Amino acid sequence: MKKLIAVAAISLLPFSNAMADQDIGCGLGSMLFAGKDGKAVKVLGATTNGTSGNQTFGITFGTLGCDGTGTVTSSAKIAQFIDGNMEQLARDMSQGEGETLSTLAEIWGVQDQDKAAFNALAQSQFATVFTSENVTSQTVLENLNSVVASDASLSAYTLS
Amino acid sequence: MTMKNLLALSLLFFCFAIFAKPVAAEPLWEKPYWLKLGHYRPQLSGGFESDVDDTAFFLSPLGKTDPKAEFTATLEEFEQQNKTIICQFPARYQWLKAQVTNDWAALACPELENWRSLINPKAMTLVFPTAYMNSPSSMFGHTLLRIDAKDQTRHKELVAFAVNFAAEPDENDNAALYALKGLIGKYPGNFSLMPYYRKVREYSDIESRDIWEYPLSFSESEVERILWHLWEMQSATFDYYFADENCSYQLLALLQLARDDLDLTSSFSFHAIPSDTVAVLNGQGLLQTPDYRPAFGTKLHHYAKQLTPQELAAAKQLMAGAEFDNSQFTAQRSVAIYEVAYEWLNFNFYDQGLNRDDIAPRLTKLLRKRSQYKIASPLTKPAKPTVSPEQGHGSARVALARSDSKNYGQTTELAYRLAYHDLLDSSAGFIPGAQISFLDINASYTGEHLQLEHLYLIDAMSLAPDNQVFNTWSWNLRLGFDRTAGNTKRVGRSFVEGGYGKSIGDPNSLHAYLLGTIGLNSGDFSDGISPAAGVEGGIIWQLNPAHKFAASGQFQWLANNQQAQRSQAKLSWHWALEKDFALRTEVNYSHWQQADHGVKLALYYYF
Repeated sequence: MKKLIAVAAISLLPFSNAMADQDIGCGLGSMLFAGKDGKAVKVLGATTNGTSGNQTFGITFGTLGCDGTGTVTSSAKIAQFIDGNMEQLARDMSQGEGETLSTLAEIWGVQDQDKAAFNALAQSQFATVFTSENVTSQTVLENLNSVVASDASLSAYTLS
Repeated sequence: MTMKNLLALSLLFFCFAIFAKPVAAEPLWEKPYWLKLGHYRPQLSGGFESDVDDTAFFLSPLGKTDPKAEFTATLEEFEQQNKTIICQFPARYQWLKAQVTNDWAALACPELENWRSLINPKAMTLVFPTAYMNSPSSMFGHTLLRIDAKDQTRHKELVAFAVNFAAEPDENDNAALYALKGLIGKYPGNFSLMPYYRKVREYSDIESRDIWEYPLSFSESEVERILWHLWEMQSATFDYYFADENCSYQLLALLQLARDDLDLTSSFSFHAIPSDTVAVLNGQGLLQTPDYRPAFGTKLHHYAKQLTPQELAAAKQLMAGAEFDNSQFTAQRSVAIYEVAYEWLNFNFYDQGLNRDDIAPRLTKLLRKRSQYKIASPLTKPAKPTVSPEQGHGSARVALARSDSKNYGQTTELAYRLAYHDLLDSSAGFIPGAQISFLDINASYTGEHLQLEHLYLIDAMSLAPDNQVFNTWSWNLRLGFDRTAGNTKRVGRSFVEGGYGKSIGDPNSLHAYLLGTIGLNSGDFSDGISPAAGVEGGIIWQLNPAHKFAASGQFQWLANNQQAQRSQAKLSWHWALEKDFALRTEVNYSHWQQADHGVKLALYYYF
């Protein structure tokens, strides 16, 4: 009975969009504002207790890395994080603060006493790091790493 | 009473307990923990069946329906110290090792160990993304888990691991097929693990799904037990049923492995909806004070409220790609304008699917401009709502009512609603201005006979008002059976009707709506189907969290009917006595073949 009711309910409610979008890839090529077709509301997923196409990505059981080995170097972890959070990172960097920027500082290994300097650097070098809307996450990481390298007080944090 | 006496007394009870149950040593395969490990559920026929649909999860060919056969097969492998099997089923191994006499080796599985050290588990958090504002159906929500690492700080939770149970739909299926296949369990469901930020992005990008994060009261070793079982679930596929064997049910089935005696699923087979997951865990005392993560849309709305009309106009100029005259504003306010312009344009970009070539350069430019001001954001963040979802009323409801009508006299009514929330129910913990009722049934008894008064299979309304940022439409949908005043008795009609329109005001205080409606009716009053068109509207006033008042009305013109017009109006007062009890008083008027008016007093209990 309950399934019948739910069928009736679900097929009658207006949905604005169908399937889950697959926005965050496993590669390191994400751009800012990669865009989606139409209203990217996963209302169906939302309605039906959440489904999403996550299984199609490399990140599944036992593995964090896209290569499936499960071994992740810290710079790979940073690269993945940037890749999955490009817009949030860009926004936080433009403001010199925010959760995404703080998380990046943490996984980058920045010590507490240097975090303010890291944030300030990220903000002042925003245009150097996010050179255009077509910059890829890989380039963002490289750019950020070079501004860190050329900063007198933060150069110790340069990733090799 | 002294401590000693207390001790003696408790020993006495202890002994009683022992004597009361002398030798009834339950076989191990009947122990609740074994049944939980195999996801076995008792069947009406008396046997058991596992929810797991993957043969790789069972060591015995009979495993799906025979806990004993599965137990014997497992024990045999463990006796022989089959490393592959041991490392495939660490939770079974650890539990059995503690139950039977043995000289088995300690658990040593490099892959499992590697996985565990990557996760570095310490605690667990239940993550509950709430409903999406304009979609009452999303009130059913979703739940997932986050495994909190040992070295976790508030700033690192984004990179913690999320445990998600989801169906794997066929992407080529359309919406209707998707719903149908989901309901009859045609999609495989399984657990997956991913960085938490991916889930945050997913729910935050859906405009208005705020996230509640409840730390769970599990010790480190209990978390460890859950993870051993999660590891076993790698090879487990379930048929995913949206209605019951869904994410909520499966997460509870996983969590109850934390303790031998923890039972989270047995009371849960009828309506398994995510907010009930929260309720079940809350009932077991496992939830701690939650954190709140406002969604993109919630933040944008909150930011926009902090701008003056002049500042909003400047933000709109920026969004259109023009400059604004920043000499008119202080640096602080300019920053606020840039930030709102960015958030709003970014929101529209995704919400309306705008062209990237036009919008992305504008967004990037807004960020670059913002970065030139070395001042912290002047915008405040949305506050955590005072009532979190677990404090809201239960999702099922029963009512006992007494009503009196001019034409038909006094009756006693009994009502039941399977789920979930109507506009007058206490909003605490729910999305204000949204209603969704499934299977709402009401019967009356006059002392002589019992009569079905109404049966709504679905009765949904979404009344999100327009505001500075969002321009939204309101709608409703109703499907079922009810009665109105007929010539000699209350006559029944089966109907479907829907409306579309606008709402104004604030659903948390004074709120009004007006919808144009169309519908189809059939029943005692006409030979065929009678199409209808009309209007429906109302005003709802929430005086305070305990009291709501409403005036609502409906007017319809009917074609193909002896009586061309139908109207009804209602004044209601809902008084939430406490979380799960309420009184509703109603004065109503209806006119069809006859005019009638009456009063009704109902006592509600939510569970």
